Amino acid sequence: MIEKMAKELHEQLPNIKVEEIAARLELLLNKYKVPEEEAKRSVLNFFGAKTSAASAQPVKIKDIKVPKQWVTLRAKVLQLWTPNSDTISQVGLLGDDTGTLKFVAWKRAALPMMEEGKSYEFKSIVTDSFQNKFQVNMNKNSAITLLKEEISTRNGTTAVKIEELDEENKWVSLRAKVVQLWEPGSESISQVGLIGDETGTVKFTAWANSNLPKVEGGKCYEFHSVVTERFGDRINIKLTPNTKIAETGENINVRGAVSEINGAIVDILPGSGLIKRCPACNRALMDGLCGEHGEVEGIEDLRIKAVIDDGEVAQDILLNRDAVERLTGMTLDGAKKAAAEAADPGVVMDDIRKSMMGKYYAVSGPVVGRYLLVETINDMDIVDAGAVINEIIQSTS
Amino acid sequence: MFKREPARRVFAQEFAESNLTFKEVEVDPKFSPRFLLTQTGAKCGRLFIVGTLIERDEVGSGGIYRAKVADPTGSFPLFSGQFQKDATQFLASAEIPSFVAVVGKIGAYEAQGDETDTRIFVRPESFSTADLKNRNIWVIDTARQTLQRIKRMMDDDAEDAVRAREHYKTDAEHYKKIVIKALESLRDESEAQTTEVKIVDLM
Repeated sequence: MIEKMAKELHEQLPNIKVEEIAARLELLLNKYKVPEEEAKRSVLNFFGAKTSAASAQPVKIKDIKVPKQWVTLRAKVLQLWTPNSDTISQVGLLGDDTGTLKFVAWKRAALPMMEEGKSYEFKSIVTDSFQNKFQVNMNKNSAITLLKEEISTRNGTTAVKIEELDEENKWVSLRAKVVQLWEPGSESISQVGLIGDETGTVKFTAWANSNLPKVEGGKCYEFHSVVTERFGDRINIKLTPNTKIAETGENINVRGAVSEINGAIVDILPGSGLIKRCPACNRALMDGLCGEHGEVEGIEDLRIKAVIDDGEVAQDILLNRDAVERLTGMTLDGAKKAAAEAADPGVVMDDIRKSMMGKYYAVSGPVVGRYLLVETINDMDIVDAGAVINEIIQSTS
Repeated sequence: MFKREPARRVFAQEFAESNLTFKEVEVDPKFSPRFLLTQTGAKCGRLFIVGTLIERDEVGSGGIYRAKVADPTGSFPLFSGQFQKDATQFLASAEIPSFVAVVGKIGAYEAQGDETDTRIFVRPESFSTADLKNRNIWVIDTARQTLQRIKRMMDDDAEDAVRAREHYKTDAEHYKKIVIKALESLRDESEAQTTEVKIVDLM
């Protein structure tokens, strides 16, 4: 066992002989009865300190898998973030052709300031893990040299699956299918929608100033160098001017695009019924005003925002005009007429409230942000109460 | 992010037999809803009820209504006041009896200023007209959720279950009987089956 552990550790300490590592492990494990994990850490710490600064190994980002290692890295500063502490001089994201990595430069290290987009050689920096993610720290033993050549990162963004997206400001590549395209809420957005792969779906935004080719719904693409961002408790992805999009011609089976909930409608939210949208950006108007374009002649539309509740979870749902028409039998024209007759668009929401509140429904659709976007909605049916009772009895016996 | 309190499903008899109310300590008490922890450990900040409106009385002349909504096991007391405008309006013109769906929060008052005699009621947020089908779905839904809670209470150490068990010394058999009573009432209506439901079958 010690031999195996020593070999593993040797990979992280290539300039220390396996025998030396084994001897140290032997001492810790057998003589001092240190637990395995603690022993490993102790060995790395012991030899890591000995091999410090001068002999720091040149590595690639993907090889950084152990904390407290002295390494040398050639990488590009992809992003600089605002430090959240006075002790930090700079914090941000580094990239090379194998991946991306967070870095922290401590103020007391008094290192030269780095610039976004420039490539550097980072000598004698220390690997660290923070909340289960690796990063590198730059201290007063570290040295930073500006490189003339540019470290290539574009192809190096890590290829990931959507379910692995759990962190913001990460540069990644994805192969995914365009599941849905929505109306952009603003002129500064070129395209917005949902892409999915075998592991899940994620919202994407392409900004108009990125000048990217447009994607089509239902087609599959490789999205190279997109960056993750956090919105509330969700991770979205953003396409940037550096993003490369290539159609792959494959057909990806998208998983989890749909979630289901059976429950009762316990609230109809404001903004339901007959609404008006801005003709320029399609946003719903508030009191006749568009958040971006001010007073505009709105275009009428039907939608329902509601809450469905199964006793454990209250889920906000959104029905677009299509779903509203299918469910209620109401049409946009009919709704307009009813509103005109009553001289009050509020009557449409009242009708919706009357027909849906307190009723049980089975709904399904993708959950995006706060809302489940309803694709199907059906009344719940009891065919035979007796059969349901038997089922309950069996399931609890 | 703000998380909406789900609307729990509890039978009227369990509601009537429960008295443990509290506010969340980590929230400013002014903003915390009142919670009722029921006998089987349902932590109710909100309730969803489909049943029969069987009583409605105006209290005084201030537009405050006292009402009762019945399910197969008993009835829920409701109070609707000036801050529940829509619910009060609905009650003012509702037919008695009729099927209704209610979403409501938990209210409490001390009877005759006696701290030891706290009466708990439902403060409706919304009322709507219901039908027999949705009422039956609710009975089955509530039966299922009550049985799940009883199970959880017997073999789980979830916080709500433990707290309810310690406060009430809950008699699980009693609540199984209530569930069966509710289901039996449906069975009579459905005429689909006549086999007797035994308590042992349920757990």
